[in-house]
Amino acid sequence: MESAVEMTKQRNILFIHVDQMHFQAMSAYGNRHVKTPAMDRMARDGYSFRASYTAMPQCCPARASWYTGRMSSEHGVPTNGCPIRPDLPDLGQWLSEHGHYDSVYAGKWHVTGRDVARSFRVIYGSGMGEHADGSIARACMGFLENYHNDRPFFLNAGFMNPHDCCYTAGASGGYGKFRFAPEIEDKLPPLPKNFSSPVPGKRIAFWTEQDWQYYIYIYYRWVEMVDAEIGRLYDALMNSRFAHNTLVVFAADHGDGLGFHGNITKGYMEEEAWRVPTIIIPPGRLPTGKQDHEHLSIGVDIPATICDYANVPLLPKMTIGKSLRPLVEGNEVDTWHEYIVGESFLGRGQIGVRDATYKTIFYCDGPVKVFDLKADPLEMKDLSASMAGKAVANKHRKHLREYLDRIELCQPGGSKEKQKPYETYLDYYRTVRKVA
Amino acid sequence: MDRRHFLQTTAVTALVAQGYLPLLAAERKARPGKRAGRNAVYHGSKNIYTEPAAIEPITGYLPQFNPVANRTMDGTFVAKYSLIACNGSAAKSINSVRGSLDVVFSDALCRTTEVRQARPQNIVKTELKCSGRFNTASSWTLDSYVEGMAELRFVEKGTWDGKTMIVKSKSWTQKHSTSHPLIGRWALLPLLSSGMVKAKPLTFDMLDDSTLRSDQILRYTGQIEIPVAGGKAKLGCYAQTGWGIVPTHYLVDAEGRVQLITMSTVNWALSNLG
Repeated sequence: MESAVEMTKQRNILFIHVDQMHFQAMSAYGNRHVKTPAMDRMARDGYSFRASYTAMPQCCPARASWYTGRMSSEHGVPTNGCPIRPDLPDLGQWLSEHGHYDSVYAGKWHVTGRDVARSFRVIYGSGMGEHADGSIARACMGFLENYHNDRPFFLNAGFMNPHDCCYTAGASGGYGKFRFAPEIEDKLPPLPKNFSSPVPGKRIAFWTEQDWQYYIYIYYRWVEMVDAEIGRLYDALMNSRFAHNTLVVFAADHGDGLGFHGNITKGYMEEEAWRVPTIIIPPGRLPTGKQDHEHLSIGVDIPATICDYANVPLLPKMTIGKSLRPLVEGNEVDTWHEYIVGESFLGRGQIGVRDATYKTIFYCDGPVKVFDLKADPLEMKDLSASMAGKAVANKHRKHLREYLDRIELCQPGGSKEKQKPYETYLDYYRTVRKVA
Repeated sequence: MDRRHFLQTTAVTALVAQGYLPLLAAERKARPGKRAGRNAVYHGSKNIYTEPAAIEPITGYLPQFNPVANRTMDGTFVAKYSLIACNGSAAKSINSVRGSLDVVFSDALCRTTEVRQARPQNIVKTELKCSGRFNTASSWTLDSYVEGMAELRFVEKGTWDGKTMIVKSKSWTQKHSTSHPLIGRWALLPLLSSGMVKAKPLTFDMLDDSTLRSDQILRYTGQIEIPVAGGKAKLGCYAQTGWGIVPTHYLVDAEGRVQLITMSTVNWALSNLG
């Protein structure tokens, strides 16, 4: 048993996460249409992993991966609403048990099947961003103001915005706040270069190009809204006695379409949904504000990094996640992710495999898309029909089989109805293995 | 109802019935790739600046809203607002009362108590000293606590010297540069009530509790007639845009009472004035 003095040497951890944030929606990353002074400060103080991806681009699966260190097809939450495997420990429990941490939670949790109060000391609940994010920031600030425990803290601030973009619908298909457009017309951001008209039948098929611009404009305001709350909390920490001894992790559970490829929301493997912002600010901060575009990162690297800084073992059976700490601290790493795999089991299901240059999207019902992300970062030219594209897809199929050998697929029991959400990946992965 | 409006309405209703919610543009005729200019024709509404954006987040609540008509918002007043949350939309917006706000304005002192319903509740009390004709902030305190959790309470004291706002607590000091007059969100009420913003848009930085929301513009955008309990009400509409907020509408009656404030998922309805 460590003494109280030794325990106080342990690092505190502040995990700030946001919901549905596009990986480029930050002024520090060159976006001229949104101003994010707080996130920019974090990027300046820390290490930005610019090639960072979520384990599964939907809320519950992505969050379950953060907190269990396991991939979406492992932890029992392939899509929103599926219950997490009860036998898996989560970071709250793990750090309390192995690092004597005071695991504290405020805000959005959204890991179905597990009561957050079972794993954390909950100081504030969740709600829509505009309604709750200010209160979440204030609860966390109050916590920092009054914390005098000998134990290190693992404080989680789960902000909701910019997820409020999911509630923009005007009644009966009206315009909502978008009708304000004439007053802000000169401020409307341009459409992304890879914008395309959405597939007919989608609810957004009626949008004009200008409507899309309104959507992007308002989305950025929600990003700024949460940035203001993050700024309050981050500044409170950095001006407090905990500044020198606290790791700060900033991440988003998934992105948002934001008009890229004519998409909104999430759940697919194109960059706009799969790729996410990730910043690690080590205790004492970094003077460089490094932005790393080379090293690939996946959502389960977050718990690996937190365990590393907390000086506790990795969560059980974490076979994919790697600690980002050596990179953050400028140390040599012998091996890094040669490729990453992301999964989405919504609808037809799709698997993304990305290496340093290429990405392949395998759709579970057969089709494949291949993109050269170095030459074509906006994924506008599908190479799957070319010889080169076929070679990439074959290589990535091999990676996918390697990946399957490393993970432990969750095969829940129960009624057929209950198993339905899991069949997408179980069927597809059976096929992948059979071909091998 | 003209034929165009009838067809639009029935088409949208049919889509909604099928589970599709065309968020936007069911009726606008802008051509792809071309921005509609200020004088562009928008179909379906007489006042493109205020309808339906100003009330869209609270259409489900409005039929039960009774405009307050006792006193005015000049000089000393006590205003009570209900927080009207918007949780989505169907035929109308889906609303529920999820909190309250009390604003007491007296002798250039603006005191507020805001309660947001959640488990547990966060209660925020502020006291803002204002000065000048625009009620610019000079000093303030913020007291935040979470019901039943004494360990989360903190108090901040802030000042603004015309260029920099400084916020201090026991543990931290935060400084922010400003580029416009700093005005508290709720100190806007008397300005709106006075009509002074009607003639000329107001450019300001907004103090929202102790959060700085910079580069705001508040402008008068016209009159709007809205459905309320038992009939209709004509209200002047002011619209605010700027950093870190969704377009915010203030609906003010002829006597200067700010009856409704709409944002998006959070909106405010005046429930009492004393």
